[in-house]
Amino acid sequence: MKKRLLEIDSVQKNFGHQSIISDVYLKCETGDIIGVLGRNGCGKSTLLKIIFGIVPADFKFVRIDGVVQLKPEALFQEISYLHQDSCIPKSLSVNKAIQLSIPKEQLHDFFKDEMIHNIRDKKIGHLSGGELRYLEIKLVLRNPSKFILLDEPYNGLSPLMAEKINQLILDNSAQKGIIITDHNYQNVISVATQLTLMKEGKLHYLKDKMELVEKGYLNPGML
Amino acid sequence: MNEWLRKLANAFEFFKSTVPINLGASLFVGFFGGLIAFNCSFLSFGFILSLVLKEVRNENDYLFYFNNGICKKQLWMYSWFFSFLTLIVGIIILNLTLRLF
Repeated sequence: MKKRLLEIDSVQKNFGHQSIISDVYLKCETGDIIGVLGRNGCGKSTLLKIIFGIVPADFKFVRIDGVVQLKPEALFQEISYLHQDSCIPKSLSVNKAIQLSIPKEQLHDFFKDEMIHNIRDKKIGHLSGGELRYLEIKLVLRNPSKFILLDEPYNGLSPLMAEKINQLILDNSAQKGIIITDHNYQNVISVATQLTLMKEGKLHYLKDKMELVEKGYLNPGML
Repeated sequence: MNEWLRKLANAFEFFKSTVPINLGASLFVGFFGGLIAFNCSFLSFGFILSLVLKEVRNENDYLFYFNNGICKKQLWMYSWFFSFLTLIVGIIILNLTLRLF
């Protein structure tokens, strides 16, 4: 399978006079799971929104396979984004949401999942938080886009459900490039093939998870 | 082809979500201004009002459609086109009904 490459270059974002993101470069290839960690308000979520094109940046380049992508419709063909909050319209049924998101030839395989099978006749608005999060993550991981941005996928999930999500991410990572950010650092560390840390507007590539302690994100003993 | 049909189905679902507000606003306009005012509102005021309310109340819904490969501009254009078709079909049915009964 041909490897695809997503590059985000020279990202700058200021709120007033305060610089939130400064000259960030991020590279994600098919098979990569890039973990982006950082303290509250350091700009992790903003960075993902800028990549997806739903928040404007003062400056940015988003390249896919070396070609700069400027139009949102071109980005949406290649990139999917999981928001912190739910984004499936509540009026839809689970069945309908799946049919709208997943190519027809993959539907049979998609419904083989026991959890999905059990909720397929429910309305989105009637799902529990865990069921909805699982469905949303499975939809973004299985739709045709080649790069996935996961913003706080473990938000409000029990440890068992988080484990299921980790397995989903790993199962789909061979065909996709994934960028994941969450405060649940243990889960991010367990799935990521490359760890990064957002600090003072800069993105630092880490060689080892121990650097999270050295750079002050974690206290000694938290790993 | 399948991919295009899937996108069209997404746009149609988005259109359906604009109909209640559009219809409500246009019926209100039509109540005071008559049938022509209703028709104009369904393609302009009512339609825009439904998009504005979506922007304010359900902005996250757009992300679902973005993830399915459709941008906001395309959703709005397809929605307006579906509104136009609905109006045409409605007018034809109304005229036929008036002629028959």
